Amino acid sequence: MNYFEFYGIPVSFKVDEAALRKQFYALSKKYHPDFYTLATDEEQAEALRLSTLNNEAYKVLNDFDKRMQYILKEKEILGEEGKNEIPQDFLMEMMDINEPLMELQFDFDEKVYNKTVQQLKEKEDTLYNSIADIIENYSDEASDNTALEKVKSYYLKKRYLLRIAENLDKFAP
Amino acid sequence: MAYSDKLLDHFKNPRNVGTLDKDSKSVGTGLVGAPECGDVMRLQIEVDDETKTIKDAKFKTFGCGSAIASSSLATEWLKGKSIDEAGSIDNMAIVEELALPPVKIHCSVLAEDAIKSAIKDYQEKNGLEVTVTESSHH
Repeated sequence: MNYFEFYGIPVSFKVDEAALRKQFYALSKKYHPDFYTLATDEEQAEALRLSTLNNEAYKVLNDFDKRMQYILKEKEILGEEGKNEIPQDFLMEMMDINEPLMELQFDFDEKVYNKTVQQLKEKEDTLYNSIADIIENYSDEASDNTALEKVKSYYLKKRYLLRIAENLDKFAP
Repeated sequence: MAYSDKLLDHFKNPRNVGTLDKDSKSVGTGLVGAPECGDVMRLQIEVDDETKTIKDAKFKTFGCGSAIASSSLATEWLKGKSIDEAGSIDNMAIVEELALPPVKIHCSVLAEDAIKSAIKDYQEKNGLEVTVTESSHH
């Protein structure tokens, strides 16, 4: 059973997070070990399994990036680490954004900092906009692998942007 | 997690950081990335026209300490080597030299890929037969 099935919701990049939280709390209660102290060993083990599954599933589905990664892995679109290629021109761009970052670290310059933050934001928006339609309207029945491949490319590129954002945070004024 | 002295040394004092002229015919450039951790690595070799050996190697890596150390070590090893010798550098040799922990083995893979990709670029630029094959590890 995948995490979506566990909560009885359709596979989607968009999830009603408030509703999901409610379900998570309800199931946390339902499978809480305290309610199974008098149950058989088997029942206790089953409750523990479901309680663990509930925790894991919620952690993944409640986070946009983790959810995206989960769907791509379930669909076998995202390969193992080291097997996911990234286009050369994007790598080159990342090299170009990273280079001034390195200098910022030694010699902080507010102008360069702000410019990089701006550049990163624009890049992120452009990337997201290119797949926004798929994210919003994905349906397990109607969507095909071409759509998922695009999401994968977005997912991988976003790793780079997150990494840069992390670095920028380090020397934020 | 404890890192080896060699790894720390390469990380703190990376050798051969820099850029070679990527438009020069005697320079081969490899640009590779590990998207899962947002690493990007550029490794360049400059080949001596007479001796056909690598006379200079430079790198620039944005990534974790192990990725930086792996590429730094790779550039050190590349200098003075023939193309064939360079192409046979195996990622496991880097793992052993730096005593990389298992979770960081992919950094050495990245360095090997960068070497191969730089050699391929050089060979293609000069109309030579491409002798490196895609990595066989992982």
